[in-house]
Amino acid sequence: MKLCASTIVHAHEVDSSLVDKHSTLVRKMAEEAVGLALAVVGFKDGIPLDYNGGIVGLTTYGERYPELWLKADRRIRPLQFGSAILNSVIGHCSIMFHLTGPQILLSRGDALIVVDLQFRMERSKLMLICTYGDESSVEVQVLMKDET
Amino acid sequence: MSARVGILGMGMITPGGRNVDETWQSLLDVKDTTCSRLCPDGVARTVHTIGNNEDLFFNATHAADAAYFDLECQFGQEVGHDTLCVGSSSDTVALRESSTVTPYLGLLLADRMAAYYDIENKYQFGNACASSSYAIATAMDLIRTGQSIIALAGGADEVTYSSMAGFSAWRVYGNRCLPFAADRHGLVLADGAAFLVLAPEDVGVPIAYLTGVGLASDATNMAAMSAGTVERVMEDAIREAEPDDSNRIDAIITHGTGTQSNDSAESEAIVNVFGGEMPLVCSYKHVLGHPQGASGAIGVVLAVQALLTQTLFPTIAKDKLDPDLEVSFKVTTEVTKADLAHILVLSHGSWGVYSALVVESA
Repeated sequence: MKLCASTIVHAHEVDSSLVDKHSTLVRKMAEEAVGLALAVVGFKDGIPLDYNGGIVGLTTYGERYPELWLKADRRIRPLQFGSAILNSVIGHCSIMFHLTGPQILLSRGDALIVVDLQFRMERSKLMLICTYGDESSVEVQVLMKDET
Repeated sequence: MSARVGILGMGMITPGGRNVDETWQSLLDVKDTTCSRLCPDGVARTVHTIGNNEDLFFNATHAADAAYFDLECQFGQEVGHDTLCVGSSSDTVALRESSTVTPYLGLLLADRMAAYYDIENKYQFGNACASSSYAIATAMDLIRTGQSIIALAGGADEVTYSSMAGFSAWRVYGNRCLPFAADRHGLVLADGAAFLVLAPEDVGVPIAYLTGVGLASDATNMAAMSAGTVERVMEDAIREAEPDDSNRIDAIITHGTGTQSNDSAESEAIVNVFGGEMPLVCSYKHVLGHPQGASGAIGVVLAVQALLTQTLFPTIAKDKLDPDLEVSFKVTTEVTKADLAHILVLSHGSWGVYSALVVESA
């Protein structure tokens, strides 16, 4: 496999007006970092379908879970529950960038090995690794299957 | 690349029983289509209280110990694992429900299990309700690519207050789980854990094999299920298992949560993939509830038990089936003896995570 692009987006680089109760900061940072990284490899308008692009999230950071529940007097609104699931950030990115390949949330383990397995088992030709530990920054790498 | 991966041991704990035999018996014995150990608080429990992260570790190691014991019985001595792959969507949530510290910086289930079993390579997956299927798929891939010899793979999850609040907010939480029923009520959350010992097919004497994997993302929807993506993972898994005429799928253990969205999508996908030659279809969640991230691992253990006994458990009484689902006439309505060689296990999760695994008899 080959590393084709790497980007990092910090919290202060995100337009804060885009962040609201349904769209958290970390989600917006991830969206921006993935968009920039895909633009670098020439897929600004989308990944070709035959690449079956996938994404690996590397984090233990639950976007809003269960803090939402505590702050909201132990109630969760329907639209907020989506943010209460550990793979919400990469799930959001998979929708925004039409990543139809494997969507894998790793809390422990080597993301590069997991990406390599998807290539070797011929499940995808392009995988993203999205790493974040808190709301300060999100890092994204684009890896492609080396078919030479 | 495809190769069979041997299953050398398995263990589980569910609201239906403390081990594989007890759970299997409760599935065969069920007289009513409701969770057999449904508590007044509306969840299917193992033995513990809500919101105690220690229960998760207890359940996980209880199930993994049983799988480990199978392996040791076979080899007559202690055998080490080199890889741990665990799936859990609720790990640390119970701790965080009683704390305002975020992000969580303590030990995860994989850390604790790796220390307990002295395993160096550890992976933990948080793919919502498909977490353990992704853990098993990764363990299979590591074995097939020669990066692991003996792997412990599975998942454990527990009911937490916030997951109950969340599913209730989505209005899919019922007081009874009735998959494929006309008067379905929605899902019932449950505790549960299941683990498998996996190895290359030529190591030891496997009780069954894992032969195919399908993993995909829907990429269109946060919560509603998509028949097209269920179809895609089923086809990928079957293709990877290299099926031919003698290698057909005989039964499907569906995700079968008892929601309208789940029943419709899985029914449509099964009809589209198999056409007129549909396999038998079942779900265990009317008895065991929905063990969230442990669903896939529990499904695989039940598939192995079905292959070993050539029996499928009932899903729902015949007169309760939803006539609008094309797959209805294939849903098991009683204990069913059948010629079973290949069983497909489906599990899916929020944010468009889908998976399918093919289990083959030894």
